[in-house]
Amino acid sequence: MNGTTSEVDRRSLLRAYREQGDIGARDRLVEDFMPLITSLARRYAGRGEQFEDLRQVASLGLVKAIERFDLDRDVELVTYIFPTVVGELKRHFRDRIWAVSVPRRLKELHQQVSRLLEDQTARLGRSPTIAELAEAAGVTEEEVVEAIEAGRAYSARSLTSSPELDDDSDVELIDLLEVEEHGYEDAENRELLASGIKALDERERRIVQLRFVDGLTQSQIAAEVGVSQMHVSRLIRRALETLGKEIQAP
Amino acid sequence: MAAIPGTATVLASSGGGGIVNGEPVVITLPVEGYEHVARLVTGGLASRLEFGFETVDDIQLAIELVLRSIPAREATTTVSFLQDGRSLSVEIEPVAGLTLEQPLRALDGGGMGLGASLERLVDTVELRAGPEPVVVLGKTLPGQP
Repeated sequence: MNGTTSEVDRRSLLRAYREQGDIGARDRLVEDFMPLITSLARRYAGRGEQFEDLRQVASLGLVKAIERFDLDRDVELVTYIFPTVVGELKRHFRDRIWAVSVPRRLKELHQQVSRLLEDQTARLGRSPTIAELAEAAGVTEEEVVEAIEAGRAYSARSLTSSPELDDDSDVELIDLLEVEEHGYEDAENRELLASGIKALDERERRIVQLRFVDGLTQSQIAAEVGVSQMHVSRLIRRALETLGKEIQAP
Repeated sequence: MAAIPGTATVLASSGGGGIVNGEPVVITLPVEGYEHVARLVTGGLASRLEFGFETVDDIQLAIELVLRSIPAREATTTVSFLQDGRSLSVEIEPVAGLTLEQPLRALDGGGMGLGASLERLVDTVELRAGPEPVVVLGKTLPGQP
């Protein structure tokens, strides 16, 4: 935030947005917090994710916080926005960071195949074959299979594991996700930080419900939930890994 | 084919040029921790039948689901792939103690059965009882009888 807007002013802007639908007031509020958003995004950039992508993620967190903040509570707006944005970044990293060291070539091919999968599904009106993906990517079918499998290593690990986030860095993920909380580290905020993880679990549950109970295909679920097919596949597998721990021998 | 504990072995009877109709590809692997090997082999073989990405992923997931559900976690198991040009059949054995009714609590929280879950992923699911029980999963190309 730029520090030129007082808490009273911010609350007035938020009230104008909530009670009168004043979009301009909301936009001014967003603008006021953009330096904070940019600062947080920059802090996490350069570790496998692009700054602009992270700024978008953080901005989404900001908008969510503005929508959800309870004006009746005696808490400063920034103390709610900060952990909500961090929670959104956490969720993003948990979803997207490579769990093990994967060669850059495979990472890039995985991303290319993931894009081709979306494009070809839309163009063909069906799921493309591995051969079609291979031809479009200019690689062999085996390389496509290998790249898809490499993508399984994308996320799916605990926050305290010690992954290699990039080819030349080895950082505890929890270190990456820790931010200076500047006095906001009270119980309430820790609860808010945790809500990002809870939300992810809810989404996993929903995706699994859609696939196994409602019988939707991956591409249908991707359209329904608003994530890529490859990501749907990963989330289902993550749930499956949990399942592996749940199964009890008779 | 005997497996060395902690390793996966692959037996391809088709000379390395892909599976020939009627000839099986067989892998033996520890039940625990080698799901990715099964996925890679499954992906390679299923893609030769020109299944779409989603179908390949579903077949991989079904096999993984069975492997993760086998009660004897310390054992090894054999996964055999057989295709006839229009369909893929996958046999997983032994799966002693496994039932298709066993609930998958983590999946839906309400006890949806393993068999019902597998049927969302492949066309046919069968558990052949016997001294060495076998799970047989079948998937046919779209438009094939």
